[in-house]
Amino acid sequence: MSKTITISPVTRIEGHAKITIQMDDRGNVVDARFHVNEFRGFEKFCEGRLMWEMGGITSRICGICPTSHLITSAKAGDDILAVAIPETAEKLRRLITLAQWIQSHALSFFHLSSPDFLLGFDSDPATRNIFGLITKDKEFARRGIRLRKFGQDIIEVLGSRRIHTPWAVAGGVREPFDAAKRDHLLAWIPEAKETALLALTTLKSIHEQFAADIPNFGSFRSMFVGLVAPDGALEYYDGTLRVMDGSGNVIADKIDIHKYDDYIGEASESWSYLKFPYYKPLGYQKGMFRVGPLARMNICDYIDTPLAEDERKVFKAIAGKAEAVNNSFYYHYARLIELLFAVEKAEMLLHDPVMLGTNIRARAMINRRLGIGASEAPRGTLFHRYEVDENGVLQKVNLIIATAQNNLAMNRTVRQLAIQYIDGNRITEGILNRVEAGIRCFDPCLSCSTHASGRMPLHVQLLDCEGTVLSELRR
Amino acid sequence: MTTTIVIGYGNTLRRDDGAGVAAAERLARDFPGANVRTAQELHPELAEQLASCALAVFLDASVRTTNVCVTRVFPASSTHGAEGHALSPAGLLALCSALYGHAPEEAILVEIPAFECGFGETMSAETARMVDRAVHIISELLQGVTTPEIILYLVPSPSGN
Repeated sequence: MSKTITISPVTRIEGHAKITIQMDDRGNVVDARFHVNEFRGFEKFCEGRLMWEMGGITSRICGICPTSHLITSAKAGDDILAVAIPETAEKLRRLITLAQWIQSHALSFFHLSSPDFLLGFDSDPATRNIFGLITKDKEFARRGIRLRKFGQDIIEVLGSRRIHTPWAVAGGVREPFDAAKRDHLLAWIPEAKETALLALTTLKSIHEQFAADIPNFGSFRSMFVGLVAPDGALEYYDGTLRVMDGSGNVIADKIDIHKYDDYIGEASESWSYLKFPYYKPLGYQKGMFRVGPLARMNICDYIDTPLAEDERKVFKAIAGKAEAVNNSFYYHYARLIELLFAVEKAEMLLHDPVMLGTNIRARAMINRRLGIGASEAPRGTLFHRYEVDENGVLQKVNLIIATAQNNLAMNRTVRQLAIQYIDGNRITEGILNRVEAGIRCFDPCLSCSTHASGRMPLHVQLLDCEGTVLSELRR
Repeated sequence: MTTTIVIGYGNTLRRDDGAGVAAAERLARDFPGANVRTAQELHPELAEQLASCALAVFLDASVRTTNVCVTRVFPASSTHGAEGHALSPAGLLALCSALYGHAPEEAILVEIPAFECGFGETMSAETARMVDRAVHIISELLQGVTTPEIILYLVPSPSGN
């Protein structure tokens, strides 16, 4: 008799999901799915609101990456106003985008994934969390929390609030920066850099320890999509889209973000509220692509900060003959290189005198009926597309969220892990955690990506071929 | 360690759910030198600030009470719920203790009744009145007119004890 295993809820991710693993009558895994069963409907209820409100509304989608929504929304607003924002405003927006990377990447590594790495996939789930980490290495845990605080401090200093700040607006930003704030943030840099380097050293030291597991963590060829700077450098705020295949060939480049719809389609499945974006020229399923740190590290030609660039070169060597790193486990490595980059780049910006300028906002009326904004959120490329009437009232909204763009790849990863580790009818905590950890490589933010309400813990079900639940495990 | 930290938290876009934040903002305005924080939810970074305080006051909205209630909070003994991004007051105290070796000697949770938690930024009239009451109680505490023990004696807990 065939069976299905369900893991529900998935833990140590932002939001709630479940995993089902379908087995045949010989106990072999035939399919595995990552289901997201939250629904929020932000796109729909934003209709009828004023374009000016969208930063405040969309930043509420998420408590982890509100700043990414705020900045992307402001950029869509710039497009509707048809303005080029002042240089000071752009640099201030860049700094807060880096802060978002710092706080989110620190959370992902230190709080959510380190317990697996430092305590082991097979350790007691009751202590495989931040408290277990504190018991194992208190100073490491403290440093991680402080690094995240640095990111939050930048956001608070610039926007007067840690989360959901309304500071960025169409045309620029509301408040200027000053020397006292700059000096306060610069004082953080040595510690932040040291902690980012410590995280990298720690992660690389466990690569050998997990050598047997790593090949099973979503190792497959896919395309990679993200923004790059005009000169091909790692980009986080602006730029054009680049698409790379799993062999490292750039198959589309310098795509204006206004043309994203020509390249990215969205499919739906009845078993998940999370959409399935795909690369349109290749069609659904074949057009699977990955976004976020792994994609950005693959597609960029270089990083314009010294320590991160040195680390990128080491990262690229993982690929061997292929020129793209295709194993999803290395999302963690790429994420920490970006963390280091964000600290280095923040330091550069803080030393830039333009940051202290007072011309911070371009003002205009509604000059276009369509506005599109894009930026690199911690988890990948984020698009906001607004259609407005002559008064700026929203007629249609589309938000393409990074986590959703990884949906096909997350499902492939779950399937690969299930096939590798599940044998017969029994599912152990260690196996369950490996399947979850496969999802955590992507650091999904389900509240954002489903526009969903509520929270979702981990639930795994084992089903027979008729869909009857034979066994299940909840956490 | 003689300082008091006041942390008001909740979602200000869900009407009465923002009562804790509203109360904290009032206290910050009335006591400019006081250590008052607001947050959407309790996050691990607050542990560092708690570690240097002797008294922690948590202000939160609650649907389980119809009057302002106060309970003493102790560090959590289990790590249940430590997987997520947000913590309970007890979980935050436990994290503080685990990370820094000590937590505030005393901590209280002030629950402000919430009646309307739909979308919106305005509180119901009932909750607004309860915010006034919570602010009054904590104002006296910050002024040194009262103590946590007296508050715990005078103000009921949600169970009525």
